[in-house]
Amino acid sequence: MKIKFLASFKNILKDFDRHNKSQATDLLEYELEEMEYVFATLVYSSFIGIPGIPEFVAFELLPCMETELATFEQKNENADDMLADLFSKLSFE
Amino acid sequence: MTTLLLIGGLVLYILLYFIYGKKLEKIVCCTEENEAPSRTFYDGVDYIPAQKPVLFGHHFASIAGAAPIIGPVLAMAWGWAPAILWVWIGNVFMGAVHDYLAIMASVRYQGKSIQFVATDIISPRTGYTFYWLVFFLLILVIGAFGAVITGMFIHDPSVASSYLFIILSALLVGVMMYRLQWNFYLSTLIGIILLALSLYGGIILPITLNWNTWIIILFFYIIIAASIPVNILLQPRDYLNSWLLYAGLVIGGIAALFSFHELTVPAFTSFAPIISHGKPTPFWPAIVLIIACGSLSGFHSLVGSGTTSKQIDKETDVLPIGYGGMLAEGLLSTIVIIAIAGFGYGLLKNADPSLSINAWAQQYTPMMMEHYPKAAMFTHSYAQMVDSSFLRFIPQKIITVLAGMWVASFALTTLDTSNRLARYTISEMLKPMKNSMEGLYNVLTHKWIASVIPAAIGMWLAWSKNFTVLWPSFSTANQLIASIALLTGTMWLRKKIKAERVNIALIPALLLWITVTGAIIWFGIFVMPSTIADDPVTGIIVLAIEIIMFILNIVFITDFIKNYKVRTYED
Repeated sequence: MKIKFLASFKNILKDFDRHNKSQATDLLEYELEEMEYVFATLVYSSFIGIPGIPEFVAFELLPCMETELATFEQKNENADDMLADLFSKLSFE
Repeated sequence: MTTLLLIGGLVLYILLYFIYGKKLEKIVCCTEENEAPSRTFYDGVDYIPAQKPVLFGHHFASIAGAAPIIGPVLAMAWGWAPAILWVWIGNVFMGAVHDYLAIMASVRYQGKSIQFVATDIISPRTGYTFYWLVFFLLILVIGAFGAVITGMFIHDPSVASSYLFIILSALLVGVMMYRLQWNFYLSTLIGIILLALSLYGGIILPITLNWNTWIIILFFYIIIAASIPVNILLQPRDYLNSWLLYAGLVIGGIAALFSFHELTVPAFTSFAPIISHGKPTPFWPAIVLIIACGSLSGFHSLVGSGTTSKQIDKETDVLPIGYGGMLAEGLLSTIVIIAIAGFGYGLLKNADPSLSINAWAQQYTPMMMEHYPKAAMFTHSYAQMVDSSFLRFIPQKIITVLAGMWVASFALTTLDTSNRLARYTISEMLKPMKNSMEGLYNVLTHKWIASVIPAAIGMWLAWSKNFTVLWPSFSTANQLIASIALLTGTMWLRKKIKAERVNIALIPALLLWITVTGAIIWFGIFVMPSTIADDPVTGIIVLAIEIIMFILNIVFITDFIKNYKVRTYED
């Protein structure tokens, strides 16, 4: 009985630990995401008309944004190609 | 005999999947080495690699609906053998090839849609042809499905009230899932319980209204349902509907397998029985207009090249999802045919003793439309089939309402989805007008006006009750899109894959094109004049749509032939 009680108490403490850890990771993930946004804004600042880093620095950093650029392009192309997407998303038939 | 037919269908599908499907895969040079767009363009929103079973479920739920049920019901006038043969042959050699090529071409085109592929590979005009065909198709869908649902609601008032309860349940489930963010499994469980309660509620509280009142209610319903955000009604309802589909399929499959019933409907009646508008309807070319989606469907190319192709994990998954998904839908049509072949004769004989087995070709359609309009023929046969198997402990009334709900909820989803889609299509079609006539463009593409136009035309068509004319004209547009998509797939095989055996797609594509074109001509010459004489407004609208579709069809085939021999830049 005593052992069981101790075990469950230990579990509760472990849960606290797990919760704290997950909160910390969530925070880190959130920070990373925000930093990615900041990075993208820095690199693409001239796109949206805000003062940014010098262009040669932006060009040097550009290769790091390759995947994002491809996604941008893809989204731009798909914007004119909506019909099939809608048919599929709305489960037509 | 019913059991044998189902086993025959299953064996045929499994065998041909491994023989024909694998051969097709080889011709397309599909390998796991090519990276799918879901990985190359991963963005966490549209491009997400999905597991094979999950994606199969999504794809199948999107392509399976009410259309593969209603088509075979009408086709039973030819007897069960021609109907089932067309479903099987059309499925394996045309429908499944069409779905597979559409998804595969889209996968190789970075997840772009089939009309984009057609624009790129055939001509820019083809892209516009798609938009126009889709727009007419959507109007005819509203007309045909509006008539199906109204017929269903009048024939079985319990279905109407059950459906009303399902809408309320869907709204509740939507709130639980999206607003309150309850646990997914808990919301699903509550949703299924609410679904069962809606069925029961419908049986004890039926709603009886007449044809015109239902049409007016549906008119307002589709305009509102097409304008509210998708996560309020559409998503939760589709989710509940998919449970209904699986329940219906499982119960139907088991019942067909264990009912051991004789086939009472004749195997073959006549080459030209009476179907469309009281006219003798020849098997060829009219079969494509009658069975439609049970055998092959143009929507699938749009559905498949929309989100399915963006979520394919590996190229080798396209065969089970695209080809296999179509065969699974064919199995659904096979169950419908088995249910009616086994029990349809008894049902009609009870309703009208003057029915004679020898005069089935002449008497079936008029009697069916009188006693068990359209889908009701299926729901009652289905209930009898379940009753003759070991599942007879479930009350027949519940099964009838379940099957009715199955058809009605899919038809209604299609109805409001098509109004929503028609709204988007109008703004796409009118884009060339944007610069020259901005004022008119803004008025026509306004959210409410663009919703009212297709709803009003469609419901006006349904008002006439002329179902045996509306259904074939809806199928015309559907099958035309299928033939265009299949020809696009052929062109893709020839130009991009540089396959040597293009004939695997070219022959069915041309056969389909010839059949559909023949069917439009037959429909225009033999059915339309008497329809116009009986009901001028419906007749003229349908005829105008048919003529425009015919012209688009000719424009398309001219572009196809012109481009077929032209070498690509890379050559």
